[in-house]
Amino acid sequence: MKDFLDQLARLEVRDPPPDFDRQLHRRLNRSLLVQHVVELLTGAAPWAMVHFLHAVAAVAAFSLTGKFDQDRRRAD
Amino acid sequence: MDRAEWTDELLAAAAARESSDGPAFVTLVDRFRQRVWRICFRLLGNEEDAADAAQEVFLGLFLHRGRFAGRSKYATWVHSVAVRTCLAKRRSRSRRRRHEGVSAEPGWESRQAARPAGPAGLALDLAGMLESLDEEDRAMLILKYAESYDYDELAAIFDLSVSACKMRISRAREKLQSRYNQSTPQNPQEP
Repeated sequence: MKDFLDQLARLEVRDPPPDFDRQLHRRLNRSLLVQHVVELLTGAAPWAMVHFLHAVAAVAAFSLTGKFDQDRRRAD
Repeated sequence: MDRAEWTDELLAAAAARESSDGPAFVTLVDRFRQRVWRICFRLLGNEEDAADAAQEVFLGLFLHRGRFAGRSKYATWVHSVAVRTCLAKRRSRSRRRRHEGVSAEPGWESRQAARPAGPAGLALDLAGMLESLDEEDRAMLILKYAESYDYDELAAIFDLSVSACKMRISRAREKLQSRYNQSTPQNPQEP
């Protein structure tokens, strides 16, 4: 039985494939790209949407009232 | 101090501050490539799955590089991530095979029937007999006897006490022993 388990240590382990690092970096780059796209969508996109909606609201208010909110513009 | 002389823990802290796979992370990959590869190859048994799993391990280390809390050595943490990744891969592989209607792994009994006589047969059947063990017990036995991990390291990797590790390895050995005893009488050419 001891010999049998010793065989485990004698079984040859090949070296990693030569393109192992290249494949790893390709996967890393892909995951980084996904991570950055998700960050963009969750961070920048809502910010852009809020500013766009502010502009739309300001146009609507100007169309209805004929007044432009100067103070608000300065505050921004 | 040259980055190659840094401890694993220092490198891990530097890698956590990097925004992409910078020099600290690349040094860690260089340092652990061979060890992670050996664990994956031993536990998965073929080059293709081992390469996939080893890349997954490094990808996981990269994505969760800020999560290393320093409660254990970084090397132990990397090894336990590698073992968990391989066990998950083996489970999903057998689930997929079951789903596809293929036997998860050729059963020990069927391997036994097809086994050639003599020491070659014994060597070939080693993998088959290990397949009859529970996944974690199999991994423990392989790391203990093939990669010469000590009980303290195994306990840290599998998140068990040292005595629990010893008991599981002893039980796994007993199970293998009984399989081995069943197999020897069928092979008259063996000494």
